[in-house]
Amino acid sequence: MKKAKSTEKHIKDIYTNKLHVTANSSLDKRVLTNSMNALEKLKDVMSANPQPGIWSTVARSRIAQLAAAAVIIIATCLFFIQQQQTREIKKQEITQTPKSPAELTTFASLSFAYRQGGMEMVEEMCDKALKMAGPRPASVSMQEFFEEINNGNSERKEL
Amino acid sequence: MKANNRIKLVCCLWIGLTILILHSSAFALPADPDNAALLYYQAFCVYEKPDDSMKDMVGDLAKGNIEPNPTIAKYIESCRPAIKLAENAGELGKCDWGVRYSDGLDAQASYLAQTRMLTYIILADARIALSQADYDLAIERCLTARKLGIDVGQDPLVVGYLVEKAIEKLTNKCVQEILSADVMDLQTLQQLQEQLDELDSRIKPVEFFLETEQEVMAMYITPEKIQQVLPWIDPEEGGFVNVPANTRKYILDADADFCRRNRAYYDRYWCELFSAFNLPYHQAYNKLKELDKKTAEDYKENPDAFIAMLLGPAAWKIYSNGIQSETSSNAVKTAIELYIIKAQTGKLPDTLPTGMPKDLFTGKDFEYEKTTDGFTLRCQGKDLDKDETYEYEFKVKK
Repeated sequence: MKKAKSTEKHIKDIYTNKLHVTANSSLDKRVLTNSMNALEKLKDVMSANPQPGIWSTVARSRIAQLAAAAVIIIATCLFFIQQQQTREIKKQEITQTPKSPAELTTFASLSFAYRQGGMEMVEEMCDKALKMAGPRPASVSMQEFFEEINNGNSERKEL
Repeated sequence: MKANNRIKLVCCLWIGLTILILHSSAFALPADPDNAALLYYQAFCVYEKPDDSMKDMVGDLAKGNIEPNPTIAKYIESCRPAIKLAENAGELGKCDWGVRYSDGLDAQASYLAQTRMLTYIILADARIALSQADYDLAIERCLTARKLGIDVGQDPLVVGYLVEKAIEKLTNKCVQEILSADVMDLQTLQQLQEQLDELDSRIKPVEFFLETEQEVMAMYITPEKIQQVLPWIDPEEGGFVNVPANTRKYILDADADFCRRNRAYYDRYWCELFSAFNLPYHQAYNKLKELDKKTAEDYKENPDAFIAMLLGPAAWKIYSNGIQSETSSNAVKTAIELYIIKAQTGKLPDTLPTGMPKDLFTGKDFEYEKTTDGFTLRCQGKDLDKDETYEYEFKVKK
């Protein structure tokens, strides 16, 4: 508010003969020099702080913002769809893997494996079945076996 | 008095005999199993299951790809009880794996997976024995492996036949190397020849296996059962992938009429298939291959060919595989004959004697060539499936 009042007073002063300016060539020259200096300064400031270019202008436009939003939404949707498909493929792979070694060694598994990939595939299925059956614990000596039994008995007695 | 004494004597004898019978039966052991499969199943249970790297090493050693080393030798030593059981099993003439064929496609054949590993263990032991110059033990192990293969082939499963043939090839490779040491005397060679001939008499022809395949698959050509095939072949249900796109639709829409027409086509397909086995190798192979191609082409215009196309075996491959293994056995038998001649005369013959086992790719004798360090037996015809001509090298001591 104060600023507005001071501006109003300043304008009043100009129009109530408080401003005494005599127009001559030196004044014109001074005004022109000041203006040119001011213009030069402005150029420097502008080059130091560049104004937004065409992309910024486009980005500020409402249509561009809507388009960008649409692209983001579509991209997000596509990403989720792709993720879903990947999950489905993984799920299919899991269902394709038989649950037990027994399933790998049925008449059908081995017969169709041979049709599909020959003896190599049958051997692969057999290997997989053995692997799924898992390695047996290494053999224990009789001494170790009895020690284990004795330990078990002493633990039971303590209980 | 005399009569009384006689009665007393008879009574005493009778009581004595009864006590003797009761006594002897009370202490008689139960009979050992007469079914080799029972012993093989026990062998599968008692060998220490190897980890991946040991399994690979044992397999590579059995195939002759690597030399024995102490780590493998230690592992094989731990498998001794399993080898012993397999050896005992091989002595029995009967082997019934107890497959429930009435279960159709779900019938269990897990023994096939276990058999491979047991074969590797036995042949790895043979190669360890060979590396220690214990040739008798090496040959003994090879025969045990060969018997295991033949026992696998006593059940009419096509995959069993293929496993049998794979074991046959592996064993022949090992026997070939043992023979190449050229240390067997005449008697040992003759014994080996007799044993191999005896084993050959137990080998079943490929038709024996294919007949069961035909019957098992035929069980599924009904509207009620055909859908049970889907999980094995349809990728949507986790099955195998190389089937025509409309497989699922055909199976789901299959009615009695569709199945009847397909069954008729399927039976004709099998008749043609079996007739091919009476032909010489090249003609048989081409006919089987042509039959497969014809069925696949027929199917494009004739839905009656659908099940034959879908469930028909890759017969040309099975047949060729069998011929390859049997030819390798014939090469070994021919080589034994040549080693016998060498043991008798002190040198290899210049030409192959007559009446030798044949190269089954041509039905002719092997091509015999003496080399600087032994001899080579070469097939005169190609394995059409693998596009390869086989030759078998044997060495002799100078």
